[in-house]
Amino acid sequence: MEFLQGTLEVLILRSLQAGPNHAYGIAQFLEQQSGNEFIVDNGSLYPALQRLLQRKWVVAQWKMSPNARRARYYRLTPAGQAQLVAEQSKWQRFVEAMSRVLSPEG
Amino acid sequence: MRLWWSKMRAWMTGRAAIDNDVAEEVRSHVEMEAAALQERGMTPQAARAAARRHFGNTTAVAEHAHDAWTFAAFENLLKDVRYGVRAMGRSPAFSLVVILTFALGVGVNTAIFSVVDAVLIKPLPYPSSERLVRLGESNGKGDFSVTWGNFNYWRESNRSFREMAAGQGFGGTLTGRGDPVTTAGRAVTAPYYGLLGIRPLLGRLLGEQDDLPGAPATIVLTHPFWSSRFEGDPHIVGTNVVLDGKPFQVVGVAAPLWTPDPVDYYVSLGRIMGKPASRGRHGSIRGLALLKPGVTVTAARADLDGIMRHLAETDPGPEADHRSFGSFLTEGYVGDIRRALMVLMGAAVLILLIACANVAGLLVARNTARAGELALRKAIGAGQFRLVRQLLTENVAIALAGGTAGLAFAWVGLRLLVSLAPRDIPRLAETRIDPMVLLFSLGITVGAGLLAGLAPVLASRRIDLGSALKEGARVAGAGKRRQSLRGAMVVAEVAITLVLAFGSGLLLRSLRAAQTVSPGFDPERLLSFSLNLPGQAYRSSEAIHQFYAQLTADLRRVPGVADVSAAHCPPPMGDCGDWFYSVAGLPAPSRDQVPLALTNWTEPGYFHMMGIPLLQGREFDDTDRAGGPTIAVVNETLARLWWPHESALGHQIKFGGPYQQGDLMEIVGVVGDVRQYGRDSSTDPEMFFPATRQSDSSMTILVRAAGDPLKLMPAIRARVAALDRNLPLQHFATMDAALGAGLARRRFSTLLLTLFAGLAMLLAAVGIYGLLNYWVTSREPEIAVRLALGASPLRILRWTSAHVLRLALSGVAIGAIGGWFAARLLRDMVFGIATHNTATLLAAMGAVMTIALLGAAIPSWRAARVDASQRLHQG
Repeated sequence: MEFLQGTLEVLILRSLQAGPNHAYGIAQFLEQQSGNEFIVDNGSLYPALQRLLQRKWVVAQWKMSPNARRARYYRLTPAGQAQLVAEQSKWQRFVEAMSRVLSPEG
Repeated sequence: MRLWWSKMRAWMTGRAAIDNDVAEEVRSHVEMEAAALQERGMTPQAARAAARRHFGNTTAVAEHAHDAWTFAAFENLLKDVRYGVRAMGRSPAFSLVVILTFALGVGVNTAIFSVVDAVLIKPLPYPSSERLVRLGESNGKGDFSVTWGNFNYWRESNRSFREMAAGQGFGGTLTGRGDPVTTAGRAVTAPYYGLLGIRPLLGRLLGEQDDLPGAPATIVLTHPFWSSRFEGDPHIVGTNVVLDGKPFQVVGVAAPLWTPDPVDYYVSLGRIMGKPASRGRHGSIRGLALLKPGVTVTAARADLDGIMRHLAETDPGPEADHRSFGSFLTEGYVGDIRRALMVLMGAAVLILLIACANVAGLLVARNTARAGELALRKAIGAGQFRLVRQLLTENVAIALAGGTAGLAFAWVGLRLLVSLAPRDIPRLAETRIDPMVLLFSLGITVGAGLLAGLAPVLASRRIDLGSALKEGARVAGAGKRRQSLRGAMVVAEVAITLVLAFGSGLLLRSLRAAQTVSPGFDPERLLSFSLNLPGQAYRSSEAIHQFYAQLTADLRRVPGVADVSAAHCPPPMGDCGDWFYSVAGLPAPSRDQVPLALTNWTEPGYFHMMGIPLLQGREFDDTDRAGGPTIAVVNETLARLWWPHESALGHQIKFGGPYQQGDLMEIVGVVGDVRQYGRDSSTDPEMFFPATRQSDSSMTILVRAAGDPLKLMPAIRARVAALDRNLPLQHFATMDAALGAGLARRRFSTLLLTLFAGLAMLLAAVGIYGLLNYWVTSREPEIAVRLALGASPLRILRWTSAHVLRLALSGVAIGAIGGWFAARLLRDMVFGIATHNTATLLAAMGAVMTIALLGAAIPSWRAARVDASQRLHQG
């Protein structure tokens, strides 16, 4: 399943709530958490990460991974945290509204 | 905004660092994925390959990630331009041909456009020139002068104009300053200067006080007259100049300003006209007025018409039906040169289109050779859009190089153009390459670059990665689609070339017709000059007649003079005045149907001397005197109009028509038509009257020489000076020169259009050469096989020629249809032949086919000389 326009960035922020991660890890996380419904396209993932860096919602740092590989780790900033909260409630409302319209009760 | 700033900073500082980070990050990403796959039991090699495959296009990902930080469009543009410049450098010969072709197209267009801009587009140099309106009276059929009486009513009562001025021609002979000279000034009312923004350079301009009846005679000199005739005398203000024996006090000199009809000086119209009198007395006054903002010409005319209707009731007269006429000053002063310039501009655009087609063809061929490179770029991750953009950018870059060279062409061409052009094209001297022209050149250059680039882009979209990489450029590029695209370019070029060739053929034949057509008289060894006797010295009709009779007799005695006569308005002087007439015995025509004919006064023996055939009756002789019967001679056109099946002799015409004063005249002779306006003109009805009955102070003397007419000029000058040394000789020239000068505009537009057709042919030949050359190269193996199988070189020649012939014939067929329609635009410029002249079209088709075959000659010859054995051994 493709991502809806504009959803990838909030999903990345959400994945980083669990702790700093690298791009490969973020992709793995999103695919697993969605029950393999989402397929992360690297052509979208990398530009999205750059946009988040630009807005200072995440910062990046080169670190050694647990299996001793150099990887670039992204970490949520306080601004990113705030953005995630705002986006989450927005998406919650959106999802509720969608489902109310699509499956009306009674 | 913050985003923009962070981009800016990144762009200026850490750009390379970002690129490195992403590249390294991508590498580590792939490694991690490979490690994970390896853990699931894949061999290291297979795992790495799978991880790479799964990741996707690493270059594209890195580039997109990079784009997030930069002004991607701008940076890519720079990159493409750099790439294009490098590509240009790699094939200098190709680049030179493309740049020259663009330069030619852009240069021709820039040169013509700067003329069009100066003559047709640029606003007149007057304040609010777009609201300036010329005014006159109208009787529903035509427009003519407004009477002084009506003008003053208009000025007082109108509600549409902010200001209104009147003006009419005012001439005289200037004496007391070297040789006497005929001058042309303008008598205007005071507001005239403000309307045109004329400023004083010295002294002052003429004001309301100078317009009052009885005011002292004052004059303002224009800058050119002051600097040429008075050597720019700084103390001129306050002195007197003498015009027709009358002194005028110089009160000022006007600063230089371009006007549609240049004059030597201004005098006050109000002083000359005095108190407004009869509404029916016409001079040659025209109004010049400034519309109030937001008022249309139609509304303003309705306003003036209302005044005229009111006047018709309160002060009725023979012209009670007259209304007003008004048109914008910006319209109409350009005249027939507008049509010629628009045709030339159109032709220039066609040249540019051919240049584009040529370049497009070249680019397709080159990009074919580059198919391998393009396929490679695609394979390593350049997107389709990116490739297209790169090709277009390259083309625009090369077009800009061509455009710059084109500006140099234009600069040289413009000098040539202006020096060749007839002097009488208004504002031509102002032609220059200014910002507006530069903008135009930039526009057409970029447009041409994109247009020419479109064809190779269309072709490149079909680049088949596999075959291009595997089989090499030549096979991939020689595809049918590519060839047909180039073929279409050649067809288009040939078609456009034919349109231009047909057009220039029509103009060439018209020019030839105009040069060889009989003017209706014998122009050989004929001299003419005009005299204007000042009213001061020659008051009576008798005195005027006496002078001309004496001069004619004196000139006859000059050795080398064969014959002498005079007329008020001989050809090619055109329209020196026309007047109403009617035919006695026919029902009176209604007021707006009264016919008009040119009027002319001639001395005895004029028709015989000019070689104008006398068709019926007699011409004037010395017995036709004042007090004798009123008689007239008419030209053939007028006689045919009323008496197509019988002799016009003995019939009577009423001078002035039924509604104007005038004598009844008996027609005593009918003469052949002359080309009154010049060689390439039509003929209008004309009436002649004996100058011996009613003399006119302004006459043109015609002298037929026995030998070289130029040798007679000093003797003629001496004879005139002996009679009156204050008489300037105007327009003193041979008839050949006068007739030739009348064709200057025609010669100019014909020359340019022919030049353009020549350029088009050159470009088309180059285009065909390029196409066939490439075609032969790509078919060399096939040709070799054919030769090896026993085909004669002649057969090969026929085969390649057939290829070109097919394209050329399609182009000629399309061009013939296009030319047939385009010829309609030339209708006003064609003379002496039909606009849809089949012979000219066939000749143009023949010329274009010849050019096509010439362009094909070298490649065909090459094809026939392919060395079969050598070529086949090469494999």
